[in-house]
Amino acid sequence: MYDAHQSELFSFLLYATHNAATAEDLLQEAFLRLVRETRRGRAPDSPRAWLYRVCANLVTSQGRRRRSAERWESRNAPAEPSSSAEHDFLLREEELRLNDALVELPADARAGLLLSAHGYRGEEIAQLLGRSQLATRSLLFRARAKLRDRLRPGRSDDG
Amino acid sequence: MADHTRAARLAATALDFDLTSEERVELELHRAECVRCRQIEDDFRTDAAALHGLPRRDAPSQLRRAVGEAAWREAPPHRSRTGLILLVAAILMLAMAIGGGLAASQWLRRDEGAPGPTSTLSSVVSDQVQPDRLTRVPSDDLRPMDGDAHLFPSFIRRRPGGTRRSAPRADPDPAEGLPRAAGRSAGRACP
Repeated sequence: MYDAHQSELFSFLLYATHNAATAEDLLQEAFLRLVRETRRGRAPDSPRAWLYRVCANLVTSQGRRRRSAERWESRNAPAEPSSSAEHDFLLREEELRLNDALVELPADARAGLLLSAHGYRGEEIAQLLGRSQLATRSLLFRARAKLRDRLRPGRSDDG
Repeated sequence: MADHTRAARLAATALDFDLTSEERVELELHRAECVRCRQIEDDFRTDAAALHGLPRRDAPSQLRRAVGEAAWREAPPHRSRTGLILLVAAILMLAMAIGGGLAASQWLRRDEGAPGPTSTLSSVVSDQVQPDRLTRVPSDDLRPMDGDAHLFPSFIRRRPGGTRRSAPRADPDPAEGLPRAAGRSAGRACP
């Protein structure tokens, strides 16, 4: 189970949190919750979707708490030399731009966009995020518009 | 025809949801005449492709071991609901067994003559009984049997022709002024 889903989930968490250490913590928490649920006899029917939902919830709740700190880190803190994955990630300019644009979005918008990038349809994203389809349509539209604005060439940093 | 904001919203929504036929027509009509909104739609698609193309990253290898160790530390797992039900059932059965044993021992003690719960009950009943409300029993029914005649006063006599058991006739003793039992007077010689 871990080997089957760790890569996509870690990528989702890495881009959603913009922090390798946080992504590791959240991934561990997600799998531990799965272990607990399985021990209680409540193993999910679709572990992949269940894990994505837990990760999205963790990203959203963690993002609310540390949004300001993450913004500061993304602009001022150097890449963590201890994390080779994030170091490689930051070497690529296009990915860096996209990641910088992503991190400026609200956590739930980030999670919605990344879930879409990981192949989930709008109805599934609504279910994973615990929102109505109408609210999810609005969320994703605002997220895409804001991301486009952040990626627009010649955009100043003050937005 | 939709305005630009509406068209942009529909273009973004089309990436994740299926538009209704009316929405599709509305978007197509606007795109046909608006270069700016066509550009916006293309930008949305480009960004979505860029997000989709973000490389997958494996979690650090030590994280797998950390997850396994953390899961192991949490063992034993939470007590299952079935186990809890069995535990409660066992406690109930034990309590019933103890209660049954106590009741049986108390029953046996009462049979052996020890004062039991019934004595308490009889005292309660006697406190509740009011003598003036009791039914008066005819005196004939209270006559003793023949063998017990010496225990009763001599003025208790047999009713003529009576079929009920009754004490034998006893003569009063004028000298003592007290009744005498018939059994005693029968053996004494008359003066």
